[in-house]
Amino acid sequence: MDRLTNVVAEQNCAGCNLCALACSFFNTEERVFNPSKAFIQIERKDGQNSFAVSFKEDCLDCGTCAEYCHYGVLSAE
Amino acid sequence: MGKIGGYAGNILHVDLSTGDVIKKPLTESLMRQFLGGSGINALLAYEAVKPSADPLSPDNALAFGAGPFVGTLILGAGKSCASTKMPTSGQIDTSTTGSFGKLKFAGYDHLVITGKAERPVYLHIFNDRVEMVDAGHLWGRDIHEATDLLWQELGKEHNVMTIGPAGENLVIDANVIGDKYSGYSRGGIGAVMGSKNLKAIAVHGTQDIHVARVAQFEQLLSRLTAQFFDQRLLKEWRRYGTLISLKPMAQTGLYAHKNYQEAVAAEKIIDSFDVNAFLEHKSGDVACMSCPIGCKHFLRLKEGPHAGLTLSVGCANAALQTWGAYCGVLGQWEEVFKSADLCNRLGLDWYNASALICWSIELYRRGIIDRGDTDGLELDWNNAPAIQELIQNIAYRRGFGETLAQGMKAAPGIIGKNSEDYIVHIDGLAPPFDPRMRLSTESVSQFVNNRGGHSVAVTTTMMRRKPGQMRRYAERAGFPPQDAMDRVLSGPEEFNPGRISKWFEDNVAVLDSLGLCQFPPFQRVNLAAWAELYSALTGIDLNAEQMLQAGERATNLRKAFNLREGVTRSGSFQPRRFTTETLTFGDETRDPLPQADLTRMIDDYHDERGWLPDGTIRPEKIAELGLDQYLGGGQNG
Repeated sequence: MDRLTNVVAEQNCAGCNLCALACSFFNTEERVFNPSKAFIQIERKDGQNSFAVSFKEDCLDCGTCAEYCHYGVLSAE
Repeated sequence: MGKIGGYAGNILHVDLSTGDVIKKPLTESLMRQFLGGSGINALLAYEAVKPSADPLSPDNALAFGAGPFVGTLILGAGKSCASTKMPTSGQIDTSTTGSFGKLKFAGYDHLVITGKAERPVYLHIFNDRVEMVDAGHLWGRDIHEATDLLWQELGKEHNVMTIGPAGENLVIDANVIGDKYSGYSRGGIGAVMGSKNLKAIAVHGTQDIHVARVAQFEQLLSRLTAQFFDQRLLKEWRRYGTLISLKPMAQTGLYAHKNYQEAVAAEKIIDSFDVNAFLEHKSGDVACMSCPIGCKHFLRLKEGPHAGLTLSVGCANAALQTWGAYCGVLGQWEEVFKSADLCNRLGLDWYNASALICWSIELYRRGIIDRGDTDGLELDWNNAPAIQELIQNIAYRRGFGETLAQGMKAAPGIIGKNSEDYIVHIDGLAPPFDPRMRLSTESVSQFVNNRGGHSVAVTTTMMRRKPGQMRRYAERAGFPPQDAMDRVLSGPEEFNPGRISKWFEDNVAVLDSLGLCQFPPFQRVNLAAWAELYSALTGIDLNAEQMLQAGERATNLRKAFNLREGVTRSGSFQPRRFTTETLTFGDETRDPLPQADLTRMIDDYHDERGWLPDGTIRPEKIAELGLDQYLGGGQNG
């Protein structure tokens, strides 16, 4: 099935991690901030301040990350 | 009360001499008194730095801190702070940067480092695993190389704070750079790390940060977000970063030139540094953690002698001020960024390194030094290759660079003659703002703040405002309080530069303590809004007045640190140039700042602070802030 939440402009990612912080806060039962518990991953590329953005397999596709992305990297239909 | 939110709840102490690693709980009392970040750092540094310590000895200490907002969704909450006894002057530093926030996810709000390792090490922190690791393979490497090696060894998810060759070589103005883009730049923190044989700190973690009152926090966060994005110019902040101020700063004459002998004419600097040409080199935005603005830049130079160079720049305007305007390298973005990049790799403070080089160029032009002194280097304004060679010579202490590596306080004594007449620093730090062009918090705070010649922050006083605007700003931001309003917001421009500096300083101390960015979009948020968010996040109820007092408490504790270390008002160094020489700004000339005016503004600041004219803290103020318990018997040292 097609995902509703997608990476549409990875090159715009500035590495702020708001998406991962939002994901962990809204999708953990204990309501905590913890990027390692997020279903979205931001990984540094090429030893620079540019980033790869991906979803873990068990991502809920809830669109929260897109709501908190201010850089136009993510889109939720 | 339930679990405290926001805070990780621990202070990590590492003694590099003994290898001891101790985790101590952060007490609620400290949270209430000092909030976190730079505030709690002030106390940790006061306690961990041995009195009268040589800054480059094992008796000095490093305190790092990331405030309670860091690691949450609160906008702009990505800042960490470092405090130490600065090699530049022996005063206390409070340096902030956008990296190192992952300390919180490792389970710590603060990290205190004491002693000295026997051989070069780096500190690796991953949750409870804290290791001093041999750094023989990193020593001698520049900051980018060392960072890459650590990312390869440990994983690229780590925040890596590294010194370069300048720090290893104990260059007084050495800095620390995090993740290749942002650093603890001023005061010589890099040299302190170097003196401890500490090449780098790499941190990552998987710990939770809790929220005490979730529903209220969510509600307040939504309100903050709506109000924040209602501000003007946020898109421009993203696009241009700090270059958003290029035109108004140019028109106000705030680009000092040729060792502060001139201010660059407005049209000249606007024409020389076309922001659209800058955007040609821009390859992407770089953001601190939790920042929706992303004012920093990832650059890939497209053309010119350094085509292909990639670098990340925190404050592009500072690069322009230092390696462009000060040094007379006008119209050459590529050379400005090449010089900035060299410093970021070698680990040198842009402001002091460029000011030392400008001073050298002036001495050379005046015949006070010659090629025999400079190892054959022809020093001149706009001579970028010579400037860049000198940057390297400073970092590696080669030839004339060895003299400049001693810093702004010591170098004139080495050169002798009348070289001190031309050096421009305030207590060891080159000031970014020339008070002859404009009296504002930016320029006046450089003479009074605890670090020396660095502005407390860029504030709303930087440009001339419309009538009534200062009062509206004060009402929006929530300070100064009503009973101080008439006293502070008076004068030709509706503010008293000395008095208002106190209030901006305390507000910035709050932001630094919470872990917030101090740029204008964040300064403008009402203090009460931050206080409500703090209470909802942590579960500790504080109001705006109490928060502002916490900022004041931290500022006074830093002052007490300086007093303990023998720093006095009468011993403060001020450059001759500002009070004795006229300044040219295009077709205009500006008179020297009368010494009496400067003295009065410093007096005003001290009076507003509740300090005595000699700069010591009134006992009543110490009691009011509850600082007696920390200062022992000697309130002023």
